Amino acid sequence: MSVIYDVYVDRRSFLHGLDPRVKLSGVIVGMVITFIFSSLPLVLVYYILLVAVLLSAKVGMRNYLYIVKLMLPITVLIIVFWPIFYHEGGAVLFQLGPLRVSLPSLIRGVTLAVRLNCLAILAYIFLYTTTQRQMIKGSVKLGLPYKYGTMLSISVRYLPTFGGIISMIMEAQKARGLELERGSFFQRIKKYVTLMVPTIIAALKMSDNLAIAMESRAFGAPMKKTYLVDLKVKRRDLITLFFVLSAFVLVLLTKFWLQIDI
Amino acid sequence: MTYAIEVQDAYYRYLSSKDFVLKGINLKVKRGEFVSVMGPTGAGKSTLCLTLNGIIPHFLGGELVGQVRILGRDTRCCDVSELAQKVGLVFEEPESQLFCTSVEDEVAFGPENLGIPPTEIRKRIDWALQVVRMIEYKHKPPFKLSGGQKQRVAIAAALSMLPEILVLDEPISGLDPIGKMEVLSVLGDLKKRQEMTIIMVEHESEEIAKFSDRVMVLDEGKIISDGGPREVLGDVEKLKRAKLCPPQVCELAVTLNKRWEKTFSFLTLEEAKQGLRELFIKPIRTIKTIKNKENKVKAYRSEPLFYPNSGNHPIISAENLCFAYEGTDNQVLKNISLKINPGDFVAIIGQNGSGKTTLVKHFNGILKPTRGDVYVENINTRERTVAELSRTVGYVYQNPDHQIFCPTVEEEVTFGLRNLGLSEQEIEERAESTLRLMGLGEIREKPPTVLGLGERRKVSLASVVSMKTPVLILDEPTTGVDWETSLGLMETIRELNEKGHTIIVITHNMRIAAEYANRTVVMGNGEILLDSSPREVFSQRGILKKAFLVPPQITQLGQSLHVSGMPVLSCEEFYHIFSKLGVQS
Repeated sequence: MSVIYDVYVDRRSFLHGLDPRVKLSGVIVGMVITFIFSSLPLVLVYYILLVAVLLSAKVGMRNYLYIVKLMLPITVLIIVFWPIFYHEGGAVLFQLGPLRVSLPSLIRGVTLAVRLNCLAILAYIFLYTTTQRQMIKGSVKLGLPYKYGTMLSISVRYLPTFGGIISMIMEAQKARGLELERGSFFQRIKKYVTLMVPTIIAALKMSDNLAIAMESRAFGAPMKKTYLVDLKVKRRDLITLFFVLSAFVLVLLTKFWLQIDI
Repeated sequence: MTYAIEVQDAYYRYLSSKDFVLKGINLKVKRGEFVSVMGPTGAGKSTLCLTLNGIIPHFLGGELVGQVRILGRDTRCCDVSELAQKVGLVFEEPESQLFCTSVEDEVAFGPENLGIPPTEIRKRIDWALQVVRMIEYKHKPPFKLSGGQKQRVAIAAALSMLPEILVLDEPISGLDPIGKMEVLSVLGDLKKRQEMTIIMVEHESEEIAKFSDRVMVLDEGKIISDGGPREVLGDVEKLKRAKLCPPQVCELAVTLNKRWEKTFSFLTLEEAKQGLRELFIKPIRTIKTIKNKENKVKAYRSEPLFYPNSGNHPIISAENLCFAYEGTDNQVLKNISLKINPGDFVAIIGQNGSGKTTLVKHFNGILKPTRGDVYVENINTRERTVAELSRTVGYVYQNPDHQIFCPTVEEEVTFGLRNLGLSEQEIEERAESTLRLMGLGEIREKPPTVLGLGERRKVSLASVVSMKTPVLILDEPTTGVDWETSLGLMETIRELNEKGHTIIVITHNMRIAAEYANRTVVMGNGEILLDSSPREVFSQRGILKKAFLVPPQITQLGQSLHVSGMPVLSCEEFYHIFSKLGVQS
């Protein structure tokens, strides 16, 4: 039913056990590296490496294919349009009227597409292996006030609920003969009012009740809040951080000090 | 001695309202007492609950007159977080009180806010989850639990703040029979083992009779009855005047006392069985001599015997219908074949998750079968849109607020008619007759959103009825409204049935299935377990038990008094049948 909930994949793995802050820094470093790499073979190797990391979290092939599917339209678009609009010299592969596709520009397009896929894999490595609690805790530890953290987590928690309410309301109106897909643009907008009013009323009611329920459980009590699970940096977190940073430095050195084009 | 709760002359009105909702509440509750509070919709029950943990007046504002003392302390003098450690509050809606992503987090939420050290929180979580028997679900996300389980997690989340008092606002009214049992047995334990003081707002008088030390009736902001369950529930007339539903055995005692000049006083089914057993030893034998089942039924009430699936021209028929939601392998409906004939009044009963709603959503085309076919007026639903089907099958949703959006009741009623593309004159005529039929004429100009739940239900029903669809589907039309309003709604539905509409009702209320429907379909685990007349269905105790359904109290009583016969379905029937058999002396 809920897309949002299903993002986290409950498994036991090295990545699942990692401190969310370390994981986040790893993901950010990984993203920066993606932009430094510019040769296609290297980007491809990097992509394969990232997929291996993702699969090491035991999230399963199905979840990997989900990302591929998600990225497919943009991947195809870039591979098709990049070579058409960004000319680079070199051997022309084929020509269609004024449109010329050269080998280097095709390679550039493919490289860019693979890079974007790398970014997606990195983002999902984080999302698949980090619970909401860890995300909130991590962001609070990095300086976000607790109330905002809770707000963030609760709004994510209620997204699918509202999705459910909206689809229920749509069903209820369809059952009264409403046809959302028909009519002119203006008529259709008017039809959406029939969905908006009940949705807003439901949202207001729910937020009222939610506020009362939270207050009843001492939310905003004057005491200093404690946490059931506190984040503790373990040795493996430090080792991982060390590896991530050294890889980063290595890449930077190669690119900017040795001036090797990678 | 300090009382757990002491309320003196409490009046309260919300910021937005002119009138007081509580009008002079006086109340003393001893420690360890289990008090049930009944009352019609709008009596001020929820408001009273919120007053007890300081949400009123600290969080909601408004005007509170008089005194509310919890364990000797005036609620005005302590803040809500302090009160939260004395009074735990549990609400009806699971969706808005479970806002975390795991059961453990949910239970930890309160103690974390109170700054309790993590090791202590861990102990409390384990204790609270053990008390509500949910320890094995510690790491599960709450949204994946059943209704009864969610409600038990909500209780645990209140318990982890170690309150001495637990206030529950209709904790079981949204639950199916199993869920109700689960929650009530946990509450029973809490009272016995933890000596918890419990205040429970509830409609179900038969359950209240089993659990409470004391029962209060709240009506229009005042307490109109307060006493032991026997005294309060036994006063059938007064309960009915307050629009409430007395236990069937209490009603029976009053009837028998009046007509046979007895002095019965029944509170529970057990008491009624014992009190009546001696009286009924003879008729048991009499009935056993009647061998023919059909004769037995005729002897009870002259009603036509009912043969499901026998009609030649069903208006809806499902053939080998299988259904699984996209992307899942979980079969919600398994090979269902069912024929609904014109004029049927069908009640569909079964646990939550047994597939009732999924099945009826196939009848108006919202869902299409994964395998098998559904025909409406002999046309396969795959070939028709929901909008087309809405001319034949009207569907009234469980939550009226999901359907209501117009500024006035009248416009709400005409919305569907405009979708049908009728002429203005026709629309006006139909709206007029529908408003009259549903008794909504007086409030036609009012905005539906300000009406009470019972009236909103009526408006959403009217908005579908006006479309004059041959079939009407109603999903739990009586949930959350008081008994009198429920009966009013059901009478209206019965009238519609008599006018020729085919009615399909999903309900958890066995009395409604017994007293209104002429055909009852029992579902369990995606299959149809029984499909027959209510009388036949309620005589199948074994199958009902498997589907976790319990027949109405009066039916159970009749069955226990003469084992082999066909069941009785109402108090009136019980009296007539047994008096015909000459038992009064």
